[in-house]
Amino acid sequence: MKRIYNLILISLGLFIITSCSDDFITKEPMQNLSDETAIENVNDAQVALTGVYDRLQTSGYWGRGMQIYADLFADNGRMNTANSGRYLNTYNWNIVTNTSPGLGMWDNAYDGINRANKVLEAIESKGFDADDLKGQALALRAMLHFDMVRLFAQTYTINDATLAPGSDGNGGHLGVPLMLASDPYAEPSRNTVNEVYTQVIADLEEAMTLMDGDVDYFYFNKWGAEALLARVYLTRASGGGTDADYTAARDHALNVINSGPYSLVSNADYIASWIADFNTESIFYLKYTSVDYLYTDALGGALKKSGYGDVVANEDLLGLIPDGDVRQHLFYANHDDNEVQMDFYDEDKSAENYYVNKYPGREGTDGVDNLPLIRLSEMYLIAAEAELELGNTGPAEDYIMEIIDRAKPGALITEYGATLREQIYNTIRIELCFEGHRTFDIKRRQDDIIRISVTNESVPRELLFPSYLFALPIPQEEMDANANMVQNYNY
Amino acid sequence: MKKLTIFLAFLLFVGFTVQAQMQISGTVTSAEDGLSIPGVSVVVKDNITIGTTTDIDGKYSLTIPSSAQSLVFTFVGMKAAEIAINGRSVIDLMMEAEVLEMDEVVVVAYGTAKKASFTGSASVVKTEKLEAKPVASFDQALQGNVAGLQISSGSGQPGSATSVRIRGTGSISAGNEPLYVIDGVPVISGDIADNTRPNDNRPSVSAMASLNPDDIASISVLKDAAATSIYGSRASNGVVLITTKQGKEGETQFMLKTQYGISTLGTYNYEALNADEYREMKYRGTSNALVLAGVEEEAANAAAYAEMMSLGDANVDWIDEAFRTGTTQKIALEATGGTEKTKFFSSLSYFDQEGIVLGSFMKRYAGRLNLDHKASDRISFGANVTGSFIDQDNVSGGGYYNDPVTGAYFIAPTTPIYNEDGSFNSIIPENLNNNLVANNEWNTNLSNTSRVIANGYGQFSIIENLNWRTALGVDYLELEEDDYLSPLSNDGATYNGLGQKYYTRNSNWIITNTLNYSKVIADVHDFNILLGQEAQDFFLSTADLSAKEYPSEKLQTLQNAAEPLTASTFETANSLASYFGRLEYNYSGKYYLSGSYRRDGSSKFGANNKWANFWSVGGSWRISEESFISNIEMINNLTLRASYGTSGNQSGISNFAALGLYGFGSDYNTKPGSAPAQIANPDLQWEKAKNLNIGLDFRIYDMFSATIGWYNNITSDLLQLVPISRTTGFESQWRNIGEMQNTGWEFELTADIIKGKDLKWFIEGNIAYNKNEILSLSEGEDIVSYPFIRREGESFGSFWAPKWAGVNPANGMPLWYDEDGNIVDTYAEADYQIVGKSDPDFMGGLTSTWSYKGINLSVFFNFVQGNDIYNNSGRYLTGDGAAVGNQDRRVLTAWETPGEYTEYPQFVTGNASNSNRFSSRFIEDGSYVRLKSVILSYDLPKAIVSKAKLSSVRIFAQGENLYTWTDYSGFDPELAVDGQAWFSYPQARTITFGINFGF
Repeated sequence: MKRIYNLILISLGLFIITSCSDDFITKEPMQNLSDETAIENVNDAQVALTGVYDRLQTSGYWGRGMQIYADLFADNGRMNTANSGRYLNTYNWNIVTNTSPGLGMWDNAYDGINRANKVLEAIESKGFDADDLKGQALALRAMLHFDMVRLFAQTYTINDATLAPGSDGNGGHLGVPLMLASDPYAEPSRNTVNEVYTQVIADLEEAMTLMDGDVDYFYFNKWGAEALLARVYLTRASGGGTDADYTAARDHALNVINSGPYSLVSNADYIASWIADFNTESIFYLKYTSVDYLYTDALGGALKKSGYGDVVANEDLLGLIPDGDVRQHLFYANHDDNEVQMDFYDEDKSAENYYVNKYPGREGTDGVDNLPLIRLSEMYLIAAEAELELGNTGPAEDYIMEIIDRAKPGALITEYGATLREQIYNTIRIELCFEGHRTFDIKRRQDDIIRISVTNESVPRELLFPSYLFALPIPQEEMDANANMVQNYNY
Repeated sequence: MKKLTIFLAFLLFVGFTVQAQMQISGTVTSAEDGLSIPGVSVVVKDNITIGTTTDIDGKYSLTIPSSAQSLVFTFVGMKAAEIAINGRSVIDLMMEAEVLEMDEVVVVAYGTAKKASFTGSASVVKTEKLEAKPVASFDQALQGNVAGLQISSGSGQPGSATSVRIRGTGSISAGNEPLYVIDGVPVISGDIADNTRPNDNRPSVSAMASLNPDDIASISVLKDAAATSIYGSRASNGVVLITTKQGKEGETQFMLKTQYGISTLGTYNYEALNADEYREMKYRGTSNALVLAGVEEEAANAAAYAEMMSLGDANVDWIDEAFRTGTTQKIALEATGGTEKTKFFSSLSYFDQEGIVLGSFMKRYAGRLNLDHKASDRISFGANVTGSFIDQDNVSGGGYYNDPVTGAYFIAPTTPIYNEDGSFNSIIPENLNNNLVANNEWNTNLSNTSRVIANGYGQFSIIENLNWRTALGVDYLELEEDDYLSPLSNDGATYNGLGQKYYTRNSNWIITNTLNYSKVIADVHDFNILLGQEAQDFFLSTADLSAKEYPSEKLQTLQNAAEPLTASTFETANSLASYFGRLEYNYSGKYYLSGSYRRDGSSKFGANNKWANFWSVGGSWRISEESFISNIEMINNLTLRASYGTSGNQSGISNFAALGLYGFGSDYNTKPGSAPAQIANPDLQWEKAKNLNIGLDFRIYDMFSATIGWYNNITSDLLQLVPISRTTGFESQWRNIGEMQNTGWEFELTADIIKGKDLKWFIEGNIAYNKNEILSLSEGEDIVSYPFIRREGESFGSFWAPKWAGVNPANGMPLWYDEDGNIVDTYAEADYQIVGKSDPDFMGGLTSTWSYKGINLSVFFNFVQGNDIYNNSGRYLTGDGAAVGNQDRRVLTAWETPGEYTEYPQFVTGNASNSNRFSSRFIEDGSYVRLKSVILSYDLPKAIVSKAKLSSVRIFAQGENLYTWTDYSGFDPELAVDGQAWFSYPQARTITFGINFGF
């Protein structure tokens, strides 16, 4: 009997020892990986990098928000006479801190930057042989920082102590926080615009050395990084910047044109290229499939008559397109279905609203479009504008004619404006409309937004440079949570 | 040992030889029920070596010295009796039950305690309060019976879960439900329905409904630190200890319980318009709209008349279609018995409730075996095992268009159920084409719960007074949910039939090892020491499947669908390791001290805070035992208690809230992508509660007893999602920030007003006051969480809404206030203000019981006072013409002529006056008093019963939710969960009849 008692005692004692240790109260999640185990090899890093591209796709950012902001805030788009009420604040320049269109951009871009930093940190700390991944992560981080500084700070060359304290024509004023390492406890203050550009350029230059130049339509490659670099230099130069920056913009643009594996889409293929998966000038397109497209929240949904159709082409833009220009076919008045003959815009017609058909939807599904983030045409336009500013009018005309001639073979350059400057600006405006450029182009040139046609008389028509409205407010959510954040002037 | 026995025998022998002897015998019965009592100790006074115990029939026989003066009869739970012999040879005795409540045994954490020695605050609900209740789950019977405990039913669907708050709301973002412990096993509680299901068809499935309420012997609701701290990180919302019935020594006794009843629509303050009234309102609405638009009155009336005539001549009472008379049926067989060594309790039960809403029922099949065995003086073991199976047919809840309750009020009385050809009408624009009668026929929403709760224990006495006990428990719960939308139904048509299947499996186990030592030193120093260790592991896995394109509405399994839609599984787990101890000491039954300590380690919390310590101290002073009081006749008991301690809360947040996580699904270009999904917070830890409790217990004139309690509970380190800089890539992080306070008074009173032999009148009641206040929030900032605002210095349940100023008698248009108190006539100018609070000022219950011979009548009221309810459904049912569906009859009194004062704005079709937008107009006083139940029972006299070879027969009738007094204009005020009411399955008024046979 005694032996049984001892046996019981021993086995009870064992229970205690085995069931109560720190191991017992450590559980690993089954649907997620912990930070420590998420990126352990190159494949994991690839998966994590894919997550950065995913962030670009949201409707608040490059899935719709950027394009709508860039074209509706300026003069390319206007509200449909019958609209669902979306984007009215953007159109009416009614920008306030707690309903700003900037929130989605801020959130998604910094989320993307954090994702990219996580990839970069893993590659660094674990010594992966993954140059291409590292290059993509750097290029993406540069693109996101560049977007932020374009949206939330006054332009680089501004010199206005009230609107942009510290500004000196050389980016001395407040930009946006540079996030170069993942830090969940960060409450960063704003770097200067100059610092942001310097970092963006450094990231892109490093990225170019790490990536190859193979065509890769839906991802950053070496050419994508260089093309973006051309845009960055042009943006920094505009409005009174240095010739060195214009030269760098031109040289990078020309390098992509001359050495890259891309060529301009022909006049005959131009319209069809908008419904194709990719085309010969796709440097970096944002890919959407029938699985991950944004349904009614896609850019196509916002623009198409069969979608919300909230944003339509401004007549000011349409009026710049001469008859016979193939790009007239990107706008239509009455059309709900790709199968039906479209009622295209031409100068003799006037309908109440002209819808934008750059994003017609593949497979007959509205919203399944690959959105151009960087395409070759822009390189010709950058080269032309840079040469113009450098005083090289001959080459400037040559480059702009490549785009004009493709749009309307045999066209006279004078059909696009009275002066070479107008011809270049108008061609850029037409060619890149609804691709997320227009507001940024006006802003960097220190131009004014002048709308001739508006949806109704209560809509403001003129935004003269300089104005506080050329920078979006830092979102209220960020102001509330970050003690070091300084708000932009007048918000 | 052997020598000693011989010596004692010798002494006895000597005793017998030197004294004259006599024989005495008799029978001991219970005064309460007349049944014989076996095992009663009968000894000679002043010579306890001479004695015996009664046999199975309560009979004893004893040889005593003729010098003996009297006999002493003792039995646990009975008043000891001393009977003078006076030369008699037969002495029968009717023993009276012990009424000294201070000796009452209360189930407490990890054991039991005499009420006198318990320094904490606990309310006990005995089986009598639960038996005969026509409810699926015991928690539904607690409202009003426990001071400081509030129940919200949420839904009257048979088998749906309740929400329970003990002493107010302690947490903002984490859980507020108490911990439930059944026979020592902390169990899964609350609503177990798969939470990935979309709201519009997710039922509420109660985990507690799987327990047969009749199996419960007692429920202890632990409320203060001295009582709960030993449950550590899970105790701050209170602990509900459930103890099931244990076997009793003696001949096997059977009990057959049968009950049958009917239910009808109970408290329900809405009455839909009938067809004529509906036509009238349509006429008024259209005419008013046209006149306001500038049309001549005559033309407007003509157009309105035409519109009214277009409604057709159908006259359907949709409420009548949605509701029916429900039934409740219960059959249970219980058996209990055993020997000195082995005791058992066993039950089999069947509960079948057909709900009052079309297509709802719940059936429970449950069995239980509780067994205890004494292997030797030192070793005993036993087990409690219960298994149950529930079949539940749910109505699509949640107040969406497919909810029959919503439909009953939304569908116009002029809308026919059937088309002329006899098929179902499915053109019902006012209810998104959902025909509630057709949906019931076509669609199914079933859930099946299978559950086993089993715990076994072994106990070993190492030395005298030192016991080792190891208990191992498992709680296994499986839920299978079927949701089928027929291709014929409006919701299913887009899929051509949609089948969805959800599997949920909860499994948790627990092992508890305790050492218990008790010792009395020098007769006055009474020690009891408990040391323990515990480990518990929870695992949850779910599988969700769906498919569409059904070839026929007759088949419902997913295999018959042509196109699989989703297939997904999910798993999660957490674990808890603990050490605990408790020391109890009392000096001479006068001064009591207790202290408890628990160290909990949880997998849920951050690396820096995995372990935490909880403690409590308590003391009580039985003033009535002091010599200066004990001779005051009127005072039977007077005890002062106080306790202070800490406890924690780790419920309601994700199992992995502390970890930095990467998630998947951030895909791009058909390639899988990952992204950081959550920021690590290695400092994340328990919400902590500090409880101070002071109590006074007294009993006077052997008639009135009372417990008065005061408490102050402060919860700090509240778990909250705090906004962070979004430059981090995140919007928020779980952090421990903020403090909230609940303070209040509780009174529990009982009175034995009449204590006659035949006639008895007993009253018991309780009332509890609680005040909730948020002490601090993250950086003092308000959190607006519709319809509430969380603001420092205000109640957690403060409603935040534009303030309503009534209907303008001049034009029938709505008016509101701005923040300066000015009346404004547009909604946009109205300002949000604190306009009420969802937590009651006080609540309680009152039961009065009369018994006369075998007849017993019990009447029970409960009440909740001083709380407000946001009556969201009122926005649709008492509309101004903006809503399209049917209306409550109150709109008949809508404003019509200038100068008219009414609560209801002018009825205008398509009204854009915003009077039905969220405002204090729909925040109403939710106070009520309810005649909750009346029970009348009759125990047949023994003489009749025994002729039928039965031991007892009880016949009873019972009414539940009989009448409610309230000013609340919405549905049942008890249905509002956290102060918000939307269309929900109403509670039934139930009348049942039953007979219990004991044999």
